[in-house]
This record gives sequence, structure tokens and C-alpha cells, in this order.
Amino acid sequence: MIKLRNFEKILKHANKAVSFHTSSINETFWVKEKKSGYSNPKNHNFPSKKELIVEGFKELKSEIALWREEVSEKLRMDPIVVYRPGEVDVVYDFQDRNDIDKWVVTSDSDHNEGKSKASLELTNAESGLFHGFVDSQFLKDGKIKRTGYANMRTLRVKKSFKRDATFDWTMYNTLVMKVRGDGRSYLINLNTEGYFDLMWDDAYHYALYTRGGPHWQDVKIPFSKFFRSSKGRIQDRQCPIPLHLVTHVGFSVSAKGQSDGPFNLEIAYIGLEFDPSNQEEFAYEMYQQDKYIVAN
Amino acid sequence: MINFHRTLRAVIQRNLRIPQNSFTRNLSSDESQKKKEKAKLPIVRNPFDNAQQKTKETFVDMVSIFEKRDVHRRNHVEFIYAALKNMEEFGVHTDIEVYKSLIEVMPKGKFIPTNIFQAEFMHYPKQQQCIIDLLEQMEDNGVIPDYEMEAMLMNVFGKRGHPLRKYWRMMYWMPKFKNLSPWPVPNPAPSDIQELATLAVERMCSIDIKSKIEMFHTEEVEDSIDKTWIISGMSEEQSQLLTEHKKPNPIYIEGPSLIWLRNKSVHYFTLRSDPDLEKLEKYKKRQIEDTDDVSKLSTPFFGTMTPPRPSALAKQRSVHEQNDGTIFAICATGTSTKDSLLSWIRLLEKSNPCLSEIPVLFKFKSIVGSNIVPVSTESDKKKPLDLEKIKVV
Amino acid sequence: MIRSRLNVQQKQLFSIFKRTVHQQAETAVDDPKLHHSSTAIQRGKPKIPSKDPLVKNFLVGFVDKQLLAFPEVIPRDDFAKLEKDTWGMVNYFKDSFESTITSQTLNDLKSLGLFGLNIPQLQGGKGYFLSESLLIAEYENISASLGTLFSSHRSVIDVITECGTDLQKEKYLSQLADGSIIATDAIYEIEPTKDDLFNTKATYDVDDHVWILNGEKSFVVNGPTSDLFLVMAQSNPMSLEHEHQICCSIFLLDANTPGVTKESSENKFGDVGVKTCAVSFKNVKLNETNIIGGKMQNHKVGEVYMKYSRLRSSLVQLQLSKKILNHLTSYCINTKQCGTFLKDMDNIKDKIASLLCPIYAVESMIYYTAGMVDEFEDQDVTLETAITKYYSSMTLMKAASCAMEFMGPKALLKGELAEEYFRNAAELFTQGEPIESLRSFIALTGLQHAGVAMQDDVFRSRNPLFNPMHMFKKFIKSSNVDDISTSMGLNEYVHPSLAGPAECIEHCVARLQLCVEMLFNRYGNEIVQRQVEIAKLTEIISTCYAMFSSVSRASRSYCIGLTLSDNELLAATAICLDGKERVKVLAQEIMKGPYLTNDNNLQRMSKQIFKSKHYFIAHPLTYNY
Repeated sequence: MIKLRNFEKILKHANKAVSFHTSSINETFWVKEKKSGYSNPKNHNFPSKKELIVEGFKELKSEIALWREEVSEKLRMDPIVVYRPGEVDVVYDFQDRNDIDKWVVTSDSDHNEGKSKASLELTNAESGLFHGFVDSQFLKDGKIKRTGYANMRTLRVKKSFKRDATFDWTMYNTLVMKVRGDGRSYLINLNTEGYFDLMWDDAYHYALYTRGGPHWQDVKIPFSKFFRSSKGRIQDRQCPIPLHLVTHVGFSVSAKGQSDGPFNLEIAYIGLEFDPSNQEEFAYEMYQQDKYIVAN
Repeated sequence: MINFHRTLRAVIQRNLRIPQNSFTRNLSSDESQKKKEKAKLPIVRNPFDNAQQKTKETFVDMVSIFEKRDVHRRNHVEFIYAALKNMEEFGVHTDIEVYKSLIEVMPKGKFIPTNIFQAEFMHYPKQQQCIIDLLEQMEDNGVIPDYEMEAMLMNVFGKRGHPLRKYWRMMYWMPKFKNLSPWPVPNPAPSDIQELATLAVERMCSIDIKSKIEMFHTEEVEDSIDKTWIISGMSEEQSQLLTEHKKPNPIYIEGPSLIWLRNKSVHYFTLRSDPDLEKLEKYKKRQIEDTDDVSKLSTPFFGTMTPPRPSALAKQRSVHEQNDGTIFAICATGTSTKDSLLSWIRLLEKSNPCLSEIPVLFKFKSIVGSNIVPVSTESDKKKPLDLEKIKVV
Repeated sequence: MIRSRLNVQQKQLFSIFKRTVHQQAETAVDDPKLHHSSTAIQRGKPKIPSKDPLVKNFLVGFVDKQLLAFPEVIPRDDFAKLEKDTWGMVNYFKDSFESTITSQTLNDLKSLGLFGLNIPQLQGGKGYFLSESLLIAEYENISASLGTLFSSHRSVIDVITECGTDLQKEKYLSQLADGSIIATDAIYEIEPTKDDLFNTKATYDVDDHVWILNGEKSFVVNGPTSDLFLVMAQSNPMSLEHEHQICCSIFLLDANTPGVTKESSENKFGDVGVKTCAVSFKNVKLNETNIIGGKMQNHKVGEVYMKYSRLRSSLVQLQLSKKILNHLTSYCINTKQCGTFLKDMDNIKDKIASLLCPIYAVESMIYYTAGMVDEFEDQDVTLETAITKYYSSMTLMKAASCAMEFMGPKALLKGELAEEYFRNAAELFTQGEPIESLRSFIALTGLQHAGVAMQDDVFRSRNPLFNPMHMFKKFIKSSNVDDISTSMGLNEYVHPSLAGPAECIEHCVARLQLCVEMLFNRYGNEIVQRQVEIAKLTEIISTCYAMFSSVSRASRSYCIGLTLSDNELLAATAICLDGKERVKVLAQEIMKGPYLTNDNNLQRMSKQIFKSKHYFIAHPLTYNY
């Protein structure tokens, strides 16, 4: 029987593409479901309705506890008032198994699109090791143009009773991470899944360059540097990331530029910081253009 | 409208037929000029497959031959698709001149929309999509277009052409992303292993700006079996840490690990020890210092810029002292064998005499991934390295 | 006393009267002979009990109004006598004095008694106190070489007379007085130290009861011909437990002690005509008699030395600045450019006058500080002397670069007077303490003092949630640096025409206090590591002192009607107006903190420079595609 956690895992998946293209994708307007065909229910054994209800009841207790916590938090009204520079608030770290379960790892092989494999493991150094290999070989079925990717992404932020929620990071302006990579560059994906289908695939990205080697690397990326994309295409209309709407955090790696082979990304934590030295609002300038040229 | 493009593209891909003419023959002959008039029959085979010398020259020749073949340049879209597919084989996939020569194949003026409807509904969609795909291939290969290409696209599709929009997007984003990496690697990455290893070690050692990268030759070690090179990186601070290392505790040579430089990877080894928990605890304690007491500030004495302060005076935690171990040195060797690493330790001993008193262990690990040959799967992983013994073997 | 002429305002008269009465009561018992026998150092007036430190208290927002009266330490009669005494010197230095020091010159100087100016008469010196000896030193400072030579010689003497044992005094002072031995200091080391203060190490040999000295000192002024060195050396390793000053000892060392080697003299751009050289010590054996100030007192000795050496070298710098100003003046008078004399051009006028102001301030500071030393017993003038040195160094550099601006390449032509001055200035600027070290010394010494006074307040402010009442009170009386109002009443203690400048001082001090408070609240004791803010604070503190001493001096001069004293009034006003603006800007920057000012941008850029290890910015014509 599939546990609910796994069920959720099936529903979630990370971005399809990791290499960016700057032209818009050809699609019809209407999109049936969030995965745009990537979560074909036929491929998975869904539990029956009855099983779902039984499983759901089992979770009720923990959900109520969660709800109580939320309510008391609200009543306490004790928000953080001072965001001191240099203080990092950790959002994700890797202390134990539960932390690993917050992540979903996917690769092209999951969708029969390639041969890449990936997994996320806990290490002795209290960090998560995202490793595997990316392979750009694929079956030339005429549909796939290129492949070779792997992703890790968090589950959707949820309130009690599995209600969708979003992170509110508006008080911060910098993404802080402690990672140890292998010299590859990874893509940081911050999804801001919206309500309408047009916004389902909104994501903001920036590159994570890793030094490689045995030393840990402290990464600080201002949110102003993140650019907007949808379905792996950078959008013409750019705007700063809406930090109160972040729904997922993820990393991608690809075999771009014939870099097929193993990859290793060790993450100690992912956190947020308010860094007053970073005053930039948005790094990408926009130009006045003739009508119907841009975003068209 | 958009689905329409897609169907069209499918059609294009399915009917990729390229007229075969002079391509099947030897290219450089003058007679191709005459024969091209006769050969009009389309043929399935790809002319680029049959080229004998896969060089830029041949490629460009083929393009120019196609251009001169007839006035109408029939099937030029199919030709461009075929060319795009084969560019990598000819080693011209990063050559902007070649891409330009392919765009040059397109006739000028004909595809320029003359009214707003044409402009918005993708006038000559097959041709436009073809050049968009060409630009996308450039993008995939990291080739940034230039102003001349803009003029060429303008001539072919007019200023409202979709390829031009794609071009502008590329010109906006690609330069922005080009130099983002804090550790730039030459493009393409050097193919010489030694050069690559030097770059890799330099990059890894960039954590400490006082790192010194040295190149050793194992010939200098008397009893070395492997005659190879070693690129070793170590800083002053690391030497100091090594001398401070508590003697009975062993240090490890760990590896091989992988570092990527663009599409090339290098194996490296690390000389490290287990973390000195006592010391780390001390550092932690020192951090929690009362900063509220301003009644005992000290002043600088003659010639010093800042007064010594308990925490400043005490040793700062070094970047090499990590929670999961202290790192002393990094190296890459030509052979990645145990013997070459042994020579490395011997060579390091010259500037770090304390190494001779510390037991050194090998800790080999295989690398995750299938297409990497496991370097060593020693069963005696944690066996202390008896320098004398191994030397004899 | 001349001060009684100050009858401008009722209140003022009263205040001056009080201080005057006080002094007169003391001078009543003034009997030169009696003093010579009792203190054996002091001629002239006896000292009155010390006051709270002046500038240190600026940091806590307090100004001692009484001290606005410029010290008159040389009694009128003595002054006349002094002028008579120095006739010989004036004449000697007037007659086309050669700046190169020959043995003949040295003999002349000896006979003039210049070597023993500040040595008690008992030991064969002239027995002048600080202000007097500075006044006389001005004559010899006609040449920077003599100035430098004497300033280090006399500073060592000051240390011996103030801190030396009777034995040491007996041994050295009479010889130093007649110039048969010349003393100098050997403190600076060319190699930066790792953990300790000095590379020169003194280790105590328990068996032989001797100290063994090893190491090398560089840039020893007049090293080649000096016979006595004042050496600072590390005697204990630095440790967490000890105050760091305790870790070093100060020795008096004969040049002919075995193991002392004078290296060949250094060849450098900066040059005043006095040779400097490195002195190395190899297993030099010293005994207890060589140590100055007991084992634990070396901090005090160091401070005494610094006090005198800073003040004396400031005077040399001041004299050079004056010379440069004079030279520029005559250049401007005699040079015509496109039909206009330089002197008639507004920008030149502006520059010349804005050079005069800091020189005026330096002069005021030197004699004000010296006056405090002479007037009060054991007065704490650490900060005042440091500021004087800092300000005079900056002024000298400003003057030197001004010459280049005015004269162009001619200013650096070999044989030109301006060129000589420039090299003198370069030498004097770099001599002794590094300016960067002085800078942090000034602010930190001030903060040290303020920290003690403000500890409780700071503790409460840094823990606001535990001290809500404190925060509320603070909130109520919150004042900001942009718009400040004060009521210290300084104007009542100066000439009414200086009421404006006096108000400037009030504002600056109030702003300084707010800044100190803010810095403590923001950083706690980590302020010690915030060098950028420290440098700004130093700028504010020194400006405050420059303003204070200038106003004090101008007020006196104007009241007693010295020649062209209305111009002094102008100078003081200019210094105060300029200072007020500068302090306001700096205070605003400190209040804003590193993120709203440029500080953080600079810090970030510097990080990249060190990471790239060179100028990393791409060429402006580079293409990226």
C-alpha cells in the first residue's frame, strides 16, 4: 500500500527542463493539470478511494496537533521584529531522516526521457548529499530534443489539514547556503506556484556555482538576482521574486555541454538572511520596446 | 496558431530530405558548378554524412556550394536543419561564422512581412522556425551572436521577425550570464590533463588566498615506481595546522574525488585528519563573548593598528578546520595511484618535516556513477601506511 | 596678571578672576631658589592640582569651561628674561645658518646649551620646563635636521628626568646636558610582528641577573652619532592574562655596550639631513640599572615618552609647515601668470588662507597642551598630545602637497627649496608612529575613558527589553545629530566676538558624545575592531580639540590686543566653521551606520580586490559577445 507521503511524492515533481531557452514555448493556452502531462496517473498505482480515506483518518491526529500549534502561534502574536544582519534563519537542513523526506528527487529516467539517476542521502557530516549521474543519451523518438537532468525539490509548503501555504520571506533579501559541490554549476529553483494555470509553472532561478574540493562553501545570493521563468523558458517580462509566494525550493543539475557523468552536491543548510549591504531590488533592467515585440 | 507551428515543425522534421548533388562527390572540384544544374532529384541521404574530411573548410564549402547551386535555393530549410545536426561532427558547433553562413543561405527580402497580420501570425513559419532552431542551437553551445547577425536576420525576416526577437533575447541574457562564475574556466577547457589538474587544484585552493600550488615530479623521490607529475596545493596556514596536529592521531589521504571544470573532470586527493573536537569546542566558547562590557577597552600601543583583544589574540579558527575534519593539502597526480600519492607525501615532507612523525592512512573511495572506472577498491582501507613496506612492494 | 584685562562681560570677568586668584595665591610662594632645591626640575611656577582630562571628557559630552582660558605658564618676568637669554640663539640662527650638521655646528650648539634645555640646572642644564623649551626650540627648528635631532634627544631626557632612578639621572643627565652624549629612541621595527608588540626580545637570565636583548630596530633617528638609546623590547610573551603593555620593558642602552651594532645609514626619499640607521642587538647584556621605570611601570614610562616625543615632533612639523607657507607666499607674490600675480587670484588666496588655518590650529594645540603639562600636576594629556601630533602631521602633508599644486614640476626640481621641504615633510610625516596607528590610538583612548563612564548606560541600552524605563527615558530626550541644541555656555568664557565659534565647539562636542553613545550601543566592546568608525571618530575628536585650542588662543590674543589679533579671530572662526561642518558630516555618517553610508560598499569591494589579488575590473572597451 502506498503511504500518503509517497502519494504526495508522486504528485509533486520538479521542473522539467534545466537548461534555459530564451524563446517562448509553443503550447496551447489551456493546461489540464499542474504537471503538464508529466504525472500520468496510468504510470502509478493510485490507492483506492477507500484506502485514501483510511489513511487520511490516520493522519488526522497529527494534523490537528499541527493546527493547534498554528492557532496558538497566531494568538501569541510574537513576530520576529529585528532581522539583524549576519543572522541566518535556517529553512532546510539535514539533521535526520525526516529532513530528507521533505525532498523529492527526480531525473529524466523517471519519465522515460533518459538515463540519469539521482538520490539524496544523509551524510555523517549532518548534511544532505544530492548525488547520482547525469547522462545526455536518450532514445531518439523524435519528441525529445535533449535530456540529461536531475532535480531535488521540496514538498509544497503546507498548513494543517494539507492546505496549501506559501513561505513568507519578505523580510529577507538573501539566500544563504552552505554547500560542498564538485565544481559543477547547479540551478537553484524557487517555485512560486500561483493559483491560475498560467502561474503554475512560475519559477525563479539563479545559478549555484560550486568551487569543488573538500572545503565547504558559503553561498550568499541576493534575491534580486533571481530571474523569472516558466516551463524552463526565461520570460520577457521580468520582475523580482515575490518572496511571500514561494512554494518550493529546488536544485537542478544537467549534463549540458557534454558534461555527462557523476555529480555530487552536499548541502548543509539552506537559510535566509537580511543583509543590509545588499540594496539592489532587481538585477535585470527592462527596455522600452515597440508594441508587440516583447512577451509575444 | 501555436499548434500550427508545432505541426509544421513535425512535418519539417519528418520530411527532412536534402537534394543530393555534388555533395556526394568530391567537393572541391570545379565541375560541381556545372553539374549542379542537372542534379535536381531529392534524395534521403544526408550529404554531410558522406563528407570525407570533417573540417570547417569542407562544411563551409558545402554551404557555399548549396548557395550557388541554383537561384531558388530549393529546400534550403531542410539543408539548414541537416547542417545544424552535423555541425558538432565537423567541430564547428561553436563557430559563429558558420552559423552566419547558414543564415546567409536564406533569401533576403522575401520573408519580410508587409502587414501586421503577417507579422503577428508568423509569416513563413517554416523558415522562421528553422532559424529560431538555429539560434537555439547556438544558445545551447554558448555561442553569443553578434551585431552582424542582427543585420542578417533583419534582412531576411524584417524587424518584426520572430528570429530577431529570439536574437534580442539572447543578446540580453547570454552576456549577462556569461561571466557569472566566480571561478572562470577557459572555454573550451584545456584538454591537457596536467593543465586541467593545475586549474582544478588552483580552484579548490582558492578558499585560502595564501595557497601555494606546486608541481612535483615523482622522479625526485628515489624509490617511486610511477614516474609522473603531482600538482599539490597547500597554504602556510595548512602547514601550521599540520605541525600542530597531535602526533599519535593518523591523517588520511582521501580520494579520489571528482571535480568538474566545464565538461572535463579531474580526480583529486585530500590530505586530512579527523576533526580536533577539543579545539573546535574552544573556538565555539570563544565566540560567545560578552560584548556589552565597554569599561575595559584596550588601546593600541606604539605602531600597532588595533589593540590586541583576547579573542583577536587567541588563534582564529582557520577555514581548513571544518566540523568534519581538518584539511591539510590537496593534490592531483598523473596516475592517481597509491604509489604516486606516496611520493606526494614524501615530497610534502621536505617542507613539512613533521609529516614523517605522523601515521598516514589511505582512505580510498570509489566514485558514485557507472561510467567512471573505479580507481581502487582496496580492502585494506584503514590499514596504516607503513612507508617502508609499501615502498618495497 | 594680564588676564584681569578681560573685563568684557561680568560673568567672564568673574570666572577668569577665580582662576587668576587661584594662581596668584600659588605664585605668592613662588621663589625660584626654593623650587630648584625642592623639585630640582621645576623652575618657575609650582603646578596646581590636575584637572579632569579635557579632550577625553569631550567624548562624554563635557567641556571644562574654565580651561577655555589659554594657559599662561611662563610668568611675565620670566618671559622677558627668556627673551634676553635667547638673544644668542636668535643671532646664531639668523646668520645664514647652514642646515648640514658639522662638528663645528655641534660645538656651537653645545655652547648655546641647546642639548640641556630641559635638564635641571643642578645637572648643568638650563632647567626650562616644557613650554619654555618648546619656545626656544623654535629657533633651532629653522632647520628640520636640528629639530629632529633635538626632539628625540630631549624626549629621552624628559623620560629620564621624569621616570629615571636617581642613579640613572646622575649617570646620564649631566653628560646629556653638555652634549657630550646624544640620546635617541629606538622603537620602530621594520618587520611587522606576528603576535607580540616588538620583535626585539628581552629575556631575563635568572642565574646571572641580567637581561639579554636580541633584535633589530630600524629608522633610529640620528642613529649613527647617537650614544644613548631608549629601547622598547618585548620582555614577556603576549598572553591573555596580562594587559598587553606590561609585556614589554624600556631600556636605556649605551651605544658602546658589547653586542650593539649600528648598521649603515638608510637611504630613503624622505630626508631631513639627519641620518637614520638600523641598530641591531645581539645578546646584549643589561642589568636592572638599564631598565627605566620598574617592571610594572613601563606603561607609564611609555606614555611619558610618547607625550613628550609627540609634542616635540609636532613642533618640528609645525615649523616646517610655516616655512612652506612662507615660501609659497613669496612665490605667489613674485609669480605672474597671464598678466596676473598669483597673489591676486581668488583660488590662490583661498588655498593660502586655508593652509594658514590648520597651521594656526596646530600652533595653538602645541602650546595649549604644553601649557596644561606645565600648569597642572600630572595632568592627563595623552589624548591632547596624540591629537596634536596627528593634526600637525596631516597639516604638514597638506602644506607639502599644496606646494606641488602651486608650483607644478618646479616644486620637485633638485635644489629648489620646495623640493627640500617636500622631502623633509615626507620624512617627518613617516617618522615615529605610523599615522594609521596614531589614528586608532586617539579614538580608542577616548573610548576607553568614555567606556568607563558610560558602562551602565550602554549595558541598559544594549539590553532594551530588560530595561524598558531606560529606553523610554532615552526616547523622550532623544536628540539627533542633524539638528542639535546645546546650552553649555562656552560663549561666556571667551570674547563675545567668538561666541559663534564657541557655539560650534558646543555642537561638535554634543555630536561627538552622541556618536560615542551610538557606537557603544551598536557594537559594544567590539567597537575596538571597527576601524572605519574609529577613524571617523578620531577626525571628530581632533577637530574638536583644534577648535577648542584655537578659540581659546584667539580669545586671549584678541582680548590683550596682540598684533593682527583680529586675523586670529578670523582664523579661529574659520577653523570652527569648517570643523563644525566636517564634524556634522562625519557624525551623520557614524549615526547612519555602515549600510547607509559608503562604508559597506568599500568593504565589499575591498573583499574582491584581495580575492582577485589585483585590480580586477574589466577594461572599459571589452565586449562580452
